[in-house]
Amino acid sequence: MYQTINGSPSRWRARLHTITARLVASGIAIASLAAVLAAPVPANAAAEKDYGKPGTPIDLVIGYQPYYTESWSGLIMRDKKFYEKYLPKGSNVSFQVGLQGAIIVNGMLAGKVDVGYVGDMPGIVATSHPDVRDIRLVSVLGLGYDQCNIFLVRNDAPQFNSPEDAIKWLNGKTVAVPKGSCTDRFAQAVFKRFNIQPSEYLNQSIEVITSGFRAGKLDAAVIWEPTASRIVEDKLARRVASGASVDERDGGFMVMPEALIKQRPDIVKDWLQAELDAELYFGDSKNAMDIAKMAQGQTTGFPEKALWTSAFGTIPKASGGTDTRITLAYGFTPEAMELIQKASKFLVEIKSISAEARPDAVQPQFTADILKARGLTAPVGTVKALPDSAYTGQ
Amino acid sequence: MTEASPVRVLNSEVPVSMAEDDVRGVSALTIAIHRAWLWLRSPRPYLMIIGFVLFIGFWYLAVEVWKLPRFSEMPGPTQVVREWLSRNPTYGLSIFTPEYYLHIWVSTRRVAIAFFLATAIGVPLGLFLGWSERFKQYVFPVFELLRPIPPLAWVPLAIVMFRGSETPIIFLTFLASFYATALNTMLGVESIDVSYTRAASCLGATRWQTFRHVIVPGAMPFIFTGLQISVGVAWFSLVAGEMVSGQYGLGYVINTSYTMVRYPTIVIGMITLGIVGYVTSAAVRLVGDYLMQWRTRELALGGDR
Repeated sequence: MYQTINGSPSRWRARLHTITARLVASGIAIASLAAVLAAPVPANAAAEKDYGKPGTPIDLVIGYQPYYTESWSGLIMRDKKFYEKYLPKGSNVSFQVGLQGAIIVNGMLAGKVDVGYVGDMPGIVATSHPDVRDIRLVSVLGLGYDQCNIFLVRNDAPQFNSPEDAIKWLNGKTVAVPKGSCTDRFAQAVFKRFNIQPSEYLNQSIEVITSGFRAGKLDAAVIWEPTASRIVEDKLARRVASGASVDERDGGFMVMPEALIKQRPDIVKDWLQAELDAELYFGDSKNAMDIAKMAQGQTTGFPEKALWTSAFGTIPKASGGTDTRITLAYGFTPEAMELIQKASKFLVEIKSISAEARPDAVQPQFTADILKARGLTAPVGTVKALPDSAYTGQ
Repeated sequence: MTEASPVRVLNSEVPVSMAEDDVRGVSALTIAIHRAWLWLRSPRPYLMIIGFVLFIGFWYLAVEVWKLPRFSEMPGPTQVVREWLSRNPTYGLSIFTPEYYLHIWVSTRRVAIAFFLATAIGVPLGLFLGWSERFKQYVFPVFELLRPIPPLAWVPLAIVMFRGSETPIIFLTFLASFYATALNTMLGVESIDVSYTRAASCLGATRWQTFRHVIVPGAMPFIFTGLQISVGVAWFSLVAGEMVSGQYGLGYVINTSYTMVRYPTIVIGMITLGIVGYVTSAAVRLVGDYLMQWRTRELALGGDR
């Protein structure tokens, strides 16, 4: 086949003209787009949800974590339904399980969840997106040292003389954490402090970490309760250190959208009244077995003993154990504020959030008013470590 | 079988016969340049630009101007572009950060390894599945049983079966890619008119010669269609694998950005994935076009398949 690709000069000029015209049209389109994109970013906060008038029944979606012991007041709330005493008659409450606080936070930013029970990092991150949805911290679920901040190592790791030695051993090792969680913040803070560089810092969910230990692929993981207790009970790994070893606190917070706070302060007060009941219940060690049973009913794949141990078990001090497993702060105590500020600053440094927590991100007045009305002070209780003999289950 | 000596145009009118090897190299370059020129002369690139402009324009209007329900919570193009082009990105990832290219490289390397493995195993398997009825009866039922299982369902077994953290991800990426390649190859073999194999047999060709000179070239169009699909599914399987476990990669970027609520970075990861995936698909297409020039010439000369 023969094809001439040369033409007469006038045909060439016509073709060139057509190409030029097309290039110009495309250039104009691109320039217009660039001009639009260069324009100031308009605020595009999501439209506020309508929660109805004060005093009327409300439908609430609660995002909670039965797989995070420090936030078990939510688990107790679901089982004991303390909120029925306070919410307007006819209100509906549905609970959604989040395997991780970040999932609940994303649900809240999407307007699908109204109350969130989350760890410290997702709680602070939630308040850092007012351009999407304004979310505030309204209560402290609990503070601890070995609820979220737990180092586990594989069973055949060396026996360490101290938790610090164990942490230093992680240098050059494969470490897994669920990114975006309280453990991620804790791990990165500790690694920075001790100048630790893992060979791999893997983002894995709690079930993948469990599989990883089972398959012998992980040297260490930083994980929260009750998964830490389950992994240890299953003899897949052992504890070596916690936040107690390095004076790094962990915490759980309740978050709510500002729209709910502004439109329905009555509901906020009602829910926080119920939350206080739940935390008081949690702090009574007579309820330990009942709570373990509740937890087993709301989780999958966790033995009751592991769940009991995660909240009430005695962990050796050499492995980072503490006598007080959880401090039920409820209100924003100085320790809670210190955690928020310290964590917030660190999260800015590692570019997790763009700015530190705003002062109005914390709404302490509701819990302060309720405590005053009920003649209580924060913290409202503690979850103490109990001896193994206190476990009376199967 | 022989090919007619191809010719090329030296200048406007004079055809010149050349040695086959010489022409093959020159023809490929000439064809590539000519095609690029035709493409530029056609409305296609300009319509493509206008298409992108309309898409981005709709995104901007829906998210940032009209704030349509469910769109208003998404990051808009201004936010994404600012973060993407920022020298000091808010969330630590932009075209100016080396980690960005590290993530692209890691994902591309994983896809490349998985794709080549899938091709190396899937093509021969597909050829034999199409060529041998007996082999197909043994293997195809198992193949079809395993094929619908999504890569994510393999995650627990992949973690247990394979050492390290990289191999399970490559395995998950390989899976979807392998099925697409093998199936298309098998269909390619089955699409060949049986009269060709009979004709080859009548002309004295052995089974191996028939396989090599009839079946394999005849299945090539389907094979390359399968490879284009295969590289695309490799990318979305890769993202699923990286979301489960990883330290680098575009899927890791997307998943981590989700858990850390870095919405602009999610979109940056997605767009980057789209661009890199597009480039790899185009590369496969180009290689296919090059290797099947004989088919284009035969069709142009009025030959049958």
